[in-house]
Amino acid sequence: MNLSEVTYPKDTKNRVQNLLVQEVRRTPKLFPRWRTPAMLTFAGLALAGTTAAGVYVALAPVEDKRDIRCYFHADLTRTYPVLEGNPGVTTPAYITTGTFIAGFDTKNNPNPDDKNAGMKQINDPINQCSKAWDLGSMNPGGITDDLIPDGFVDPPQGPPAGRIVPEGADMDQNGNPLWPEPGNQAWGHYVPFLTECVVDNAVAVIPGGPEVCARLGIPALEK
Amino acid sequence: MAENDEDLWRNCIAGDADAFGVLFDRHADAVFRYCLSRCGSWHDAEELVSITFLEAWRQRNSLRPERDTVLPWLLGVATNANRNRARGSRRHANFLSRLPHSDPRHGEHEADHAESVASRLDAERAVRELLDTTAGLNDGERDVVVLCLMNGIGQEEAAKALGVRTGTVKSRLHRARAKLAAMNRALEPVEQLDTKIVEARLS
Repeated sequence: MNLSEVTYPKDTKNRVQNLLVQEVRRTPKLFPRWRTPAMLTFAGLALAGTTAAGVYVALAPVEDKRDIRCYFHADLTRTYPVLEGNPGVTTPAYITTGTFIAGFDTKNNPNPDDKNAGMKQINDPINQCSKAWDLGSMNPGGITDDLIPDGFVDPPQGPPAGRIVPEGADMDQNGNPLWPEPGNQAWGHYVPFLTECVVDNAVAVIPGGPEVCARLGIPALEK
Repeated sequence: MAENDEDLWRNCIAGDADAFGVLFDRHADAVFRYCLSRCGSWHDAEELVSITFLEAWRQRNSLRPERDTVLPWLLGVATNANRNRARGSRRHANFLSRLPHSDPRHGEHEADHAESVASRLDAERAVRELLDTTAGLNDGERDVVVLCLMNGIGQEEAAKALGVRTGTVKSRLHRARAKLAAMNRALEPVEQLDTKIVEARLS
């Protein structure tokens, strides 16, 4: 069988087309704006004015990428309880990650006011946060268990050499290796699809598809 | 001169049902092939096509066509519609009860005599065999195999359909090919197949 030769039978297709057109004709039109009372229109324009910035800055660059925020959920404000012996204490919606420059001397820091002094610029924030997810750092106390699909098998506890991780778990969503260094092996914890957004002029890597930044009302990272 | 998808979709957003009809006519065959390759049933594929277009109409405000075609987006809607078929069937039950089918095995009027029942059965069997071939793949890998290898959709378009990056499609395809090759090796005593042959069967 050659699938490319299969077609929707023509007569049925025509009848379905007619039915569909009739069906969608019955649905109400979306926004008959020209009939909207003037007062409502002006109110709408005023509201649009207040949100225009959110629309026009759909993409934003980040110059300093030494400090990458990895969010637990597609929620910028949610906090999580710190479970171990700290009742009432919460952790923020994200963890910050970075990579130290090897050999950086903190005692001779030339920029003591720079809170990220000694950290490298991160060229691939998705890969950076994918590592945090792979390590299990993004699921303390099971706070992101809700993101894990049914059937996903958690990696067994134990020394790295004894672990068997699923095929492909050693790469991020873009096919880049998580742990390219020789001898390092993926841990195999669940890594969701991640998207780079911008929060407080910092890169925010958030679980969710490409639409997640717009849904949260924040710009996506400009490459 | 025929309008491009972008213009037609703009008309759809404005409520132009006829523009929607033109888009249906333009893409129904490709969507039907994709639906058939997802569910392996001619009858279900016909229903899924309708659910896909009804859902597309419902979500028409969320689409901004790229590259003058809405097909990748429609295939994405079809992918979700297939996953949530029970919900879609309930939502559009009234419409589906009026839906003509071309499959006479389901007691409906045989609308198109050009296609024989035998050839449809043949198509269903062949698709199911191919889907069986993908049994060892996870959902993401199967998505790209069905889109790219079975339906000949480009990797960029597949990425748009699935809402992922092109790199993700590439890596999923890479892993799927490796798994298919491994499965073929396991089948060797029974059936001499290599990855290329499986891909040829899928394409």
